[in-house]
Amino acid sequence: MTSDSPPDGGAVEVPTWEEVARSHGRFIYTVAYRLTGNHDEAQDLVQEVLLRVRRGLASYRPGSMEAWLSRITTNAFLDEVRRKKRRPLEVVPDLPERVTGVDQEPLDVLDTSRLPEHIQEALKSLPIEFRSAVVLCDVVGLNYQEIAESLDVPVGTVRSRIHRGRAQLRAMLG
Amino acid sequence: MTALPPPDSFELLSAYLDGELTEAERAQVDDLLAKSPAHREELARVDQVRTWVRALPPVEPPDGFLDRAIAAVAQPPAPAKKHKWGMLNLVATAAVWVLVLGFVNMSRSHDVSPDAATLAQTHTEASAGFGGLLGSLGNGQPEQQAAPQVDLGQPYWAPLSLPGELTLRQVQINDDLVGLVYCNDSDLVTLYEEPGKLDASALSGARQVTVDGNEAWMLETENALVLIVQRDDLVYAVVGPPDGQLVQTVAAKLPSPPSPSLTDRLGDAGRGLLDSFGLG
Repeated sequence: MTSDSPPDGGAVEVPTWEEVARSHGRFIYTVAYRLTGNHDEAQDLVQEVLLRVRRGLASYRPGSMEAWLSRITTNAFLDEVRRKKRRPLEVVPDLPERVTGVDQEPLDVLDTSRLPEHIQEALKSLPIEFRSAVVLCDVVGLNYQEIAESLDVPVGTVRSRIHRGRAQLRAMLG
Repeated sequence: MTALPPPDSFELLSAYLDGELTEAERAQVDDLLAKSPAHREELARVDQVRTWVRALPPVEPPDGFLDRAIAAVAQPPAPAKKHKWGMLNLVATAAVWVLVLGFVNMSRSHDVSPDAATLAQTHTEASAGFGGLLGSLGNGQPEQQAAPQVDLGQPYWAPLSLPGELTLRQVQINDDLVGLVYCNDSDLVTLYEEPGKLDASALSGARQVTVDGNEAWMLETENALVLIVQRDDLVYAVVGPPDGQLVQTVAAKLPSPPSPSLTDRLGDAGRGLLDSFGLG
């Protein structure tokens, strides 16, 4: 068990990375899946996050473990997105591009649009910056200041991205 | 006449729902909502979406995934084989192995699924071992200019150079797996070869991509990118810098190995052995 010392000098137990992985694995996987939109990429992302947790646990200060993990997950996700932009490999898609059929009636779309998989597909269609902000706010539950620190942008930018992300989601979901 | 609200006033609505406004801003939004049907409608739309996203359930990882991921992360990295040999020693060692590998693999055609994560880790450690030598190594030419390749015996082969101005610097042999280390001015690429047929279904963590129109499987780590491809009787894993450009170039333009007869193969192996020890 690794220990860490808070500013007041009292000893606080910090879990090992394996304990973090077991106790928060489902949380990390949920954030990873909401960010990436598919299970293959979510699994790759979780593994990368666990590597970073293992390497970086010494820098963790007792506080919100979920905020710390979601920051690592988001950063790993954004690193991966940047890496892909530099390398134009053609990835064979493993999911259909759209869930809603083009011949569906508008009413059908409206009726089914609240299903989790449809909301997830809409999330996946958002620009990365909007998606990250919305996931950190509405899935993880971070406040704007925490999101700003996670994404390394001003709070005003977070406010704008969250609203524009939600507005685009609403437009996509009918 | 009532002044129109500023265009970005809509962006306050999400923050209003999230309780992220100052008192002054909140009063401003209350005022807008009292006067503007458009803002009221937008608030209702955004509130609906916010409710939907917040109601998304937790996502269950596939059965056993977390255990496998934890085991993979906990696994100590495979030790890199670091040899500081010159090209002559390299050829000599390769030639000594040629008889063994040639016979062992003549009739072998088994399924192969490289452990891409371990290869990436091994490559990363090897890169660290080469360190500041990259520039001086890359600028030099192989000591044996005449030979187009090092003869490792079929189906293995080791071209002395690869696209990207990469020059062969080291051969690592571990059972059926051969690792060829190449350098240019700034980067190091390892080309792993293993005879057999690629079993893509058993690749852990790699996803399918296309490289120059051919199917391949890719795994990315923080420090390396791996592309796995099948060419003839060999499964190649190209491991290099994480930006992927060099790895993609190598994987797309892997030269084709020669196909000598068994007699030629054994003859060449013997000649290579004799040459290596200056007896040819």
